[in-house]
Amino acid sequence: MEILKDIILKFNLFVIYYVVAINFIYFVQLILSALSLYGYIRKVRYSDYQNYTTSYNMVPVSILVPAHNEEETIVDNVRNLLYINYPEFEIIVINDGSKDNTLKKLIDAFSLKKIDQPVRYLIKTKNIKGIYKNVDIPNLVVVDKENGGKADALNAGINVSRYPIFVSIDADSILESDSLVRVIMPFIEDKETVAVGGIVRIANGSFIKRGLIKKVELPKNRIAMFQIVEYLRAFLTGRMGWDALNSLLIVSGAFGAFKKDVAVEIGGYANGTVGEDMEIIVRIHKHMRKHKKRYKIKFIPDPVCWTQAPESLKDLRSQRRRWQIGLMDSLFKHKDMLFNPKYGIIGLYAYPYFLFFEMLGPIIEIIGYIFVPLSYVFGILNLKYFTLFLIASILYGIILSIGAILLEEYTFNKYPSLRQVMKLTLYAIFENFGYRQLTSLYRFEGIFKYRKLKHNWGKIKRVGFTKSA
Amino acid sequence: MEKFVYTSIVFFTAVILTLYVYLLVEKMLEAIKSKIREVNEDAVFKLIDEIILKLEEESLKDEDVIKIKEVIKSGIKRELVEERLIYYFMIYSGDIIKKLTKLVEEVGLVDFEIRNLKSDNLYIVSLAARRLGEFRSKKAIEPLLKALNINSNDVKYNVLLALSKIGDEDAFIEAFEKLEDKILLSERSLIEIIDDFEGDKIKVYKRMFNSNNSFLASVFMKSAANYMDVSLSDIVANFLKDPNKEKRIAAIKFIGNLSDVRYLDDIIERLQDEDWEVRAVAAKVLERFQDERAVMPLVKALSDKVWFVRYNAASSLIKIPKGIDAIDIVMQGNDKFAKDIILYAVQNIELLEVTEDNREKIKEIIKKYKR
Repeated sequence: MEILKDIILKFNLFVIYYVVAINFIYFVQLILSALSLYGYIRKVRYSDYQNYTTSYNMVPVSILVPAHNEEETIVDNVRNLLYINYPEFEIIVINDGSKDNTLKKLIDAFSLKKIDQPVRYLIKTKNIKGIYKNVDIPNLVVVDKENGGKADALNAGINVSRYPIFVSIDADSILESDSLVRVIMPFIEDKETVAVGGIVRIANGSFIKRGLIKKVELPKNRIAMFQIVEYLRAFLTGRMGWDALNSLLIVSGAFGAFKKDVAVEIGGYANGTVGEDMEIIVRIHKHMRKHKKRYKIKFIPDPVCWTQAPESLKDLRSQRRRWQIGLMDSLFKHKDMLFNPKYGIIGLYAYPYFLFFEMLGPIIEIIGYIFVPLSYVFGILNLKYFTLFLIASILYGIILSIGAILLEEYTFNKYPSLRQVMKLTLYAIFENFGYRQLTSLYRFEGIFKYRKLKHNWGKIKRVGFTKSA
Repeated sequence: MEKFVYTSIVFFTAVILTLYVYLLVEKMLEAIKSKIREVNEDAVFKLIDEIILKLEEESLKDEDVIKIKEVIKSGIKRELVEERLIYYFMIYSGDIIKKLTKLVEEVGLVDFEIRNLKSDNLYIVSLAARRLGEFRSKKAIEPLLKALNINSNDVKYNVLLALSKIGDEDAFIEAFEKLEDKILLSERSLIEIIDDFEGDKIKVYKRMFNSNNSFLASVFMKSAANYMDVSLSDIVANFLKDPNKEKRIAAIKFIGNLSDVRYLDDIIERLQDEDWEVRAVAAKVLERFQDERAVMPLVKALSDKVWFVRYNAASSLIKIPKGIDAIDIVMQGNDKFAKDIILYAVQNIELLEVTEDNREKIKEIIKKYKR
């Protein structure tokens, strides 16, 4: 019994240091993000991106849209993409063995015909069954292939693509008309740029017509509301902070741009993983640093890509498990990077952070929920200290969320009314009482189902965008 | 420990409150600024519009300079003046630009932005460079060249763009020579800057084609390919066999854009180049010459080991007179690679780019092949 008591005491002490450390990191990230965002907003004033929307000097881009059972949203999504304001681009929709009518809907909506196109298998993928085009829409290509997972679908898209930069987006994403120019500008401004991630915002609640965001609104669904706060925190403070340190380890699969030659060089997206978006970035870091090549992976904070967030606990659970599994998969595959000075800040800081705080965080949190009552039972819990510590950590969580909301208000101001700010603030407070614990539980579950679920596409239930309002 | 926890609670609460107060103050200041701007916008814009209207007919008057000087004493109004003047710089061209430049010099806006170039804040420097470019004042050349020493891609880009708009050939060349190996800007952004150059482009091209920096020389050649001035052909043609791959590509693009038949044989010869990128570009530009002499070399290129070369050769053949006849022969032959690439090209080329006659012929060939 004494041993158990001792373990619990030591664990409690460890948790205190752990919470202080993680909150300190978050706080530094918040400050770094604020500085970077300030710079970005200033830069927009003299940015030349508008000129490039019509310039023949802009790099032509291939947009890859992997689709698996996306019949609800795929047609709207492609229509939206065809409206994009960009000089030269092609859209490649990759139907990854959908069992629903994804392919048929595309063929019917865009009057596509099967063409004989040889494919250069720069990256090995599952068999491509057919390629469809319509000569009147020359920049739309639909690739029908055997089911091989999202990474395999993206690799097939890379093989079929013609242009030197590709942008991968989710089939349920909505891009703003200038999104592409904004995400490509870092490649134009700096030739060392090899990948760029864009911010992903939640479209639930917003009014969408013909695949375009007409009015940004907050959703009525509470689960989606919590995720809005989460996304603001993750992108505006998290990724912006990592970008400031030049150590981004993830570019969202919902919207990211890559130099094709670099992606091909590293063998494309890794098959058999659900976290292909993180995996490819980690491999790019590893490859470039190993070969001592200069490179940059950038993040742009403009609200350029909108996506549907899960509105049910079932979908949220599936999503969070998938994220956790993806994270673990990438970290396990590249464990040689941990504290390896050869990989610079990635090996010494970014990788350990993701391992100790992002991956192991849910375990420590859940054990904490078990050990606190145990400590109380054993009489080793100082209730006063515990309450104070709890208040402090909750306040810290709130401050980070509110910090992200305020950054959004200062910069892009997509939720301008006081009512919206107040609603966001309330959710930033309430997420600490139930929602956060629930997501930790889902991630904890992901850890235990790692082996079983790591090859799953992990779909969430979509509704057609035209129904959103 | 207890003290630490209390302190942190107080600290976090204070930070939250401070953030909110800051937001409130910021929003209020923004609202005030916007109100002041709104109140002044009409009057300032009206004043500038009237002065510009007069400038269209007559020369700059001292009284107008004094009026503007008075207005720009206020920061918000100065922003409005600059914004409106830049609008006119963007919509006007010709002699009135010189009058506008004189105006911004005399009212002190050029000096103001030159001072901003010395700021420690890189965003202010970049914005100042951008505005000085719009003002097209030669007074800004020296300070802009100095600003090139600042280690920031944004600053460098905006300074080069400013010098491009000012259009002074020697300064523009000096700026590029100064950058040399320190260029982090992409090739396309550099071409965009050079394309925008408002001075004597021919002079700049001639000097920069011979730059010791092969990358820069090829970038200028690629820009020249967009400019399409035939007087540069003879000089550019010398680079068709240059040891540097980028220069060869740029030279092919240039000659191809002009469709200068004097160099057709040289371009055809590049289909045998050791670098596939050069062969691919050569195959692509041959279409522009519309010359039967390119047909057989292009047919040969249909079996090139690199897909891009084969594809460009097939696309060009479809668009060249007699090219279709050659395609017919290939489709009846045994070269699977060549047949595959032709089928692909046929289905990918926008039919608008192909003549009516060739379109019908293509359909016939494909039908025959499928039978």
